[in-house]
Amino acid sequence: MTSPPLLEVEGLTTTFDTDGGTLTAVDGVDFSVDEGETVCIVGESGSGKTVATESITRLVREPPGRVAGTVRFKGRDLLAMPDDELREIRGDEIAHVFQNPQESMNHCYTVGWQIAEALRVHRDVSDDEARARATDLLDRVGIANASARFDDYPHELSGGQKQRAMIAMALVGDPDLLIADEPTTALDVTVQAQILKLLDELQAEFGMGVLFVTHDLGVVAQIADRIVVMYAGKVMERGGVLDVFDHPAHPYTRRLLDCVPELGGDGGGIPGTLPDPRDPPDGCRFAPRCAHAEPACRTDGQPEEIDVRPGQRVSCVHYRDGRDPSVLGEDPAGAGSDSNEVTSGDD
Amino acid sequence: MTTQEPDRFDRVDWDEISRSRWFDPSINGVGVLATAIPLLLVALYDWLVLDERTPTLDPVGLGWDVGTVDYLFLFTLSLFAFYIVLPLFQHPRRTRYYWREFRRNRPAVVSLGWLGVVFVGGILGPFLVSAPEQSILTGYQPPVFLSIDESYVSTCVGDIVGGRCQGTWRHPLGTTAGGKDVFAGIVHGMTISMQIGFITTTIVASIGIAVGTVSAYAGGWVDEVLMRFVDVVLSFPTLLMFLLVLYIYGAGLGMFILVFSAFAWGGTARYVRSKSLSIAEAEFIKANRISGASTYRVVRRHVAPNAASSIITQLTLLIPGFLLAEAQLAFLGLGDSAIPSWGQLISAGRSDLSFAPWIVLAPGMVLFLTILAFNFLGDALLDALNPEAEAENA
Amino acid sequence: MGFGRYVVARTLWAAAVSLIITTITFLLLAAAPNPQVQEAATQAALQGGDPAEAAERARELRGLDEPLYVRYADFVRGVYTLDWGWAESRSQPVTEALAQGLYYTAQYSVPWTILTVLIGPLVGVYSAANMYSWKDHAATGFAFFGYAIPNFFFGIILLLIFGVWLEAIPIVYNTDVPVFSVRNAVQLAVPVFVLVTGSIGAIMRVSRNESAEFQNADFMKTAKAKGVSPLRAYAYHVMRPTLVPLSTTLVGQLLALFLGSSLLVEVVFGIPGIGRVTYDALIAQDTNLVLGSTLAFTFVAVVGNLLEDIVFTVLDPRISYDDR
Repeated sequence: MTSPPLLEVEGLTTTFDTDGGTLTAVDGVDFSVDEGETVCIVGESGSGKTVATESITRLVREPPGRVAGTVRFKGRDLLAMPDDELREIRGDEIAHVFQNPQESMNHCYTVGWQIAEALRVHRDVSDDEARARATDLLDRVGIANASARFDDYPHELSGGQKQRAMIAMALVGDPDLLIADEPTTALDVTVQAQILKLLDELQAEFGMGVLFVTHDLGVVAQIADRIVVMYAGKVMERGGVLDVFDHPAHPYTRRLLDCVPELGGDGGGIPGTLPDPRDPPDGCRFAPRCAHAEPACRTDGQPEEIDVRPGQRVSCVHYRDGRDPSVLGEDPAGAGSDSNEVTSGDD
Repeated sequence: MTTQEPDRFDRVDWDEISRSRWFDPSINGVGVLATAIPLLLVALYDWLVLDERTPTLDPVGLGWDVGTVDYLFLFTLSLFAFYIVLPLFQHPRRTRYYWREFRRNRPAVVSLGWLGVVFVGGILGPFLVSAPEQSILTGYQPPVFLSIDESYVSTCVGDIVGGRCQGTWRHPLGTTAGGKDVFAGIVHGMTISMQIGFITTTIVASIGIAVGTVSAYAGGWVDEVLMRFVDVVLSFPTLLMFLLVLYIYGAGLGMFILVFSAFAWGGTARYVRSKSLSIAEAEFIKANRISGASTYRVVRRHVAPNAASSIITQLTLLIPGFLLAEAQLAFLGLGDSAIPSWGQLISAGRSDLSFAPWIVLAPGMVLFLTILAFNFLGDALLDALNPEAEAENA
Repeated sequence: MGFGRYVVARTLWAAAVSLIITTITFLLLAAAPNPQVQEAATQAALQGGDPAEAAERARELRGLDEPLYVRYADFVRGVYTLDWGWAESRSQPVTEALAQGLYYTAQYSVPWTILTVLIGPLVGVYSAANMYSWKDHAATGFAFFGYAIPNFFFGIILLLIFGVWLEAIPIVYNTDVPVFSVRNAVQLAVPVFVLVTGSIGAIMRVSRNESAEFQNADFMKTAKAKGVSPLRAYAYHVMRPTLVPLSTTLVGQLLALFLGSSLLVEVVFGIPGIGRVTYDALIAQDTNLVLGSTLAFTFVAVVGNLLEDIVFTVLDPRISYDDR
């Protein structure tokens, strides 16, 4: 990667002040997204994925939230930017699609109005132009009879249609980066597949970078170029999707993959629960649930990231120089997870 | 009935209480009956034996003539004592829990204190403070620590210093033009306010719960008719209807209470109906139905107890409206002039406002504080009994 | 059921309610002894005539000897054709007396209604946006004060302070002042203030609590992600949905105040409005006028409730017309 990435996040830290003390949801996270690339952030619910993506454009409520670090988008630091400048970027150059299409639209306005609003706040367009553009996009995201549905209220649309409309709303400003936060989780399986396919097509068509948040590794396999595995506000492992799926390095990643029957896992869960974000463990965040944890794992903060393969890095003490990662068990590559499903994301 | 949430009193104990009310006579039921029966006997004696002019308690040497409103008041007081206060003692653990929740709301605690004063003052006051009496000579006495120009008073009870009559402890809040003691007037007004509060609340609750549950469980056209009827009741401008009744028939406090409660139960009925419908959907009710419980039993043992806490809240917020209405009517000179209510006092002092403002200000502030206290209390109960509302605000 | 049919059905229902109220009024009247008949009987007795015969004549004169259903039909016809009779105490038709009163009532009712409707939701939403700040606490305190202080009492106090002690406002309402003049504005300022204080509290509380829910809603995040400014987000995405639950309180609150307190406020401030007309009619025992003004107020309430329901269905696109 010679050209600078589209989005470069460094040391992103998001905290919330609560009655019970300060809660650190995202703790010094780095990642980047290139133009036209799809990066997936994966992890259990509550691992800070959503907060991390919402911190990029400072969507988190401040206060009680507080966002620190740098987020460079096309060379500009979004976190250092004044509010009104950042507002110009939101919805225009960086667009969001959220998890719950049922709640993400205002029930008092028509679908078309809400899509057009995204255009109207950024460009000086006439009502007719806004309407034409919104109708085009509704049509493009696969809503039949778009010009009639423009005047429908959200409650008159199905869940899948609403998510399509939300995608249309995101695309209205022709964004360079689309941040999709579990956009298919609230939908049923067949609709899920349709929406994923749609996003894939649209990414090619609009040439956007996509930052995709999910806890569903099956989805990751379909769409990702690179993945970032998060746990309790920290990055555990990152790398190309094939590398990580075929040679997961971090015990957490391995356990995560084990949970997915489609990828050859046993479908079981990970024993234990996420640590309290007000009082995280001293060492590796995963140590309390890790079968291979040793004293070195429990002190000195999250281990540094170590290259295990070109582009794949892992935050685990067992990969340090002079240590033998094989104590983690054999590399599960080839343990049934042939890369046939994984490659499907590349076409 | 068992329950998974022992800390929610609307799930547990109302059930026990109401069960005991009909089937195995509990201390609560016995208590109410023990007060109601003698009360009824006295009332019958009063009505059948004594002639109209003899005070009811004349035979035992007291001059207190008990009226219809008093009988109702005593009865509602016994309901209050045995079904609201006594259970608090019967279930100390839960009471402590509620107190902890409630205590966090400072204004509500102060309000409860104030209402306690009004309540005790209303019950015991008339026995300790004699009713304000007309005494023209000692009119316009200023409150203690204040003074008034000598020319306004014919006889100054206190000292006259520099041509100004000083207030005394004999009339701590001064007197009216007619020499009635304002403090005594306020204390006796507390009784009136408590009577209005308790009796209307009881009537509203009875009608509201009855109509609401019948509507919910009968369904169909009965539901439709009752709810349309509620619509009509709710769209009635009560004050004007009362003015009409007053104009045509004349009206005292009893009629006031009757008319106002007769038009105030609409909201309660609607509320109980929707609550009943949602409770009826709950699993434990379905289980009861399957095991053959009658509608009546389901309503009384499950629906009414579960809706009770919210109904209490709603009623708390209704009371200030009644007090205000009474005061307004009294102020207009359309109230029951035979009773010493706060509104009557305010009305009496209106023309003397410029030089004897205490006649209006003292009862006015008491009325204001009482209405404020009911509102704060209702708001706090809403928060305490409805965790969702609190979460919403957080 | 479409919107049009819903409106028609709801309007028919309002008409039915008005008929029910008219009927109840008639029954109340019919069941009571007529003061004028008694008056005639008393007069006859005093003058040595036959009271019973005099009463009979008086009844005949007023058509009271007709069968009940005929009188009922007459009564209903009279009410709906606005033939409300003669106001004896004012020597003019009832409708004319009411129209005159309305002229003065409107002069202060229009301003306070507009002020309440404009300021209430704004302050409520502002309060929610700054929840638990001192501004919110101040607004909440004011709201509680407003709906706890009896309007007539508050009016008296303000009259005492500004009229008697500071002499800033006239104590007696002057009807000779032109409607749109500074002097009229000055003499109506205090009544308007009293009524706004009384009505705004509940509106503020409802808008605050309802908008608190909406300002944390997911769609607000969507709006922010779209690049919508906070001001626009509050104006469109919070205010608009708040109006839905507010509409159910708003009309009721305004009506309650209009029906109850306007009477008191007019008496306190000496404004010869429709409330004052009612009050004077009660004192003067003018049956036709009492009846007329009660019916007038009642019909205002019926129409108000009708409007409330229609506004609610217009505001909430999710409402299905079958539900109500």
